[in-house]
Amino acid sequence: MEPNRERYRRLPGRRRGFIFGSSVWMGSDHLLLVKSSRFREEYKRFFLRDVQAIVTASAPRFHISTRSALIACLWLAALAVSMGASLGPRRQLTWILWAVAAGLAIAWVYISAARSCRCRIYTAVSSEELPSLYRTWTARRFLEKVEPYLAQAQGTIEGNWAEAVEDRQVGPPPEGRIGLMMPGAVAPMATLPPPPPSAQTARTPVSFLFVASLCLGGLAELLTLSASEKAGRWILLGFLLMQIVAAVAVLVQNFRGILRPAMRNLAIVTLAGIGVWYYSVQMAMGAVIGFQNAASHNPRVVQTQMDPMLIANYPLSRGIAGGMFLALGLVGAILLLRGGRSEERASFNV
Amino acid sequence: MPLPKWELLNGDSAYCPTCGSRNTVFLFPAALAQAGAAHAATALDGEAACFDHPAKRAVAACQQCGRFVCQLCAVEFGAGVWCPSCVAARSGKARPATSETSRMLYDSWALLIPFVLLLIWPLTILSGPAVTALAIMKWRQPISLVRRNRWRFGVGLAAALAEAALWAWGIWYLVAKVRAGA
Repeated sequence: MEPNRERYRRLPGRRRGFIFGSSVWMGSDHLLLVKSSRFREEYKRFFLRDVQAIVTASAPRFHISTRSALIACLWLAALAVSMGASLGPRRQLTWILWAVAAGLAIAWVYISAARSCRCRIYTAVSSEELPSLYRTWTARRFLEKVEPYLAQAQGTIEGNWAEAVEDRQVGPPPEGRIGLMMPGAVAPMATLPPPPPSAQTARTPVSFLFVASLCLGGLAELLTLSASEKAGRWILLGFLLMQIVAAVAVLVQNFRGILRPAMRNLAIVTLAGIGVWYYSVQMAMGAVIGFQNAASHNPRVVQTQMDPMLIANYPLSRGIAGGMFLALGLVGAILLLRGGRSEERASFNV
Repeated sequence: MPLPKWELLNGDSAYCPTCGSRNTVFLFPAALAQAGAAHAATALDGEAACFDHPAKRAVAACQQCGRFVCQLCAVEFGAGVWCPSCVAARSGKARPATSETSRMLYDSWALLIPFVLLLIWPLTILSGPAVTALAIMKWRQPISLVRRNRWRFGVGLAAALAEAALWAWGIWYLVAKVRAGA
């Protein structure tokens, strides 16, 4: 056990992803940035006396948190019940559910596009993004909490500081090594080689195939909802197979250092989404059939086993899959479009 | 990368000249501190010099090896000052909690194993023994720096034991059925 363990207090803002999460905590004399990947946590400390600046920049952040995924699952369950239940005004309920979904989607897009930000913290030797702060109101609350502690540790700047910093540099030097900026340091600045450019990209034939399979699969599902059972089944299975193969190829390319992590994350989300969709649709359909059989009051017609391939024949399940693939495909297209943009490598602050 | 000049020169709020995003800067006194405050002063005649930089004045002695260190070499480590060599030699060994940079979350492993294996349900036969062994071996290991309880271990263990019990019941049921048939 840890007898001298420091007590941390959580600060506003928390990023809850399917795999990765992040939060910032207040220690006795430092801020602790925690980056979690479910099975492992990484910590970075920013001592209050060292923090030079905190910058928030308005930026679109289309983050799907586990909370929003839970809301989506609840909505899907409600939709399945409303479409399967034979009691009550199910048509009106279904329309209400679709209206709620549209409202939630519009709110999410508005907040993600217009009320989101990126937040960075600067010290003399590092500049680090705080991933847990991605909504403007959360960043504001975070700063309200942190500023008194920073003022206590450092004091406050009186008056307009813009003139005072005119000839100064805030944040780490461009090469990320403070020691080389100091007079008397061992190596002169001129001998430092420039950092090698990142060889990783988001645009490879595999990533194009992956995104294309998602977009085309999603469109094909949505456009052929009224197709025959056999055609629908083959369309679904064909694109599913292509998406799974392409996602695995993306993972392999990322492992070999060719593809960027963002595309790998999309592949992981796609594979997880396919698994969750398969199981949830089966469970929902089992529940619907159970309700229908119970309502029929005829125990002889109880269907004891359901063919797993039946899911390919239901327009609702295919529609959900199509929507999911199309949304993932659009995210992939955005990643492809941003593929040429160089990413800033953050330095590490212990 | 340092903070861009256009962000600093416009005061609290500035617009990026490239993308037009609105940036808000909160500056603190550390940004105005003299950059040369951490410079190592030159050692004069008769003054103690740094072990690694003979031309620099020593400001402290390493609490591990006793070497003199200059301002540049002095590393605040816990309550004392260490030289860079001792810090490097101790890396990976018993370190104070304030220098830990990562931890493995064994309690999260214990919680997720039984539920993730449900996706490939035949593998749940392994989850009971695996999570029990994990919980026994790692129960006393430090968990997250910011979490204060071990409920994940408990829930994961309960779920894994429930899966193991279901397997035991299923095997017993099949054996009983085969015996009854014979």
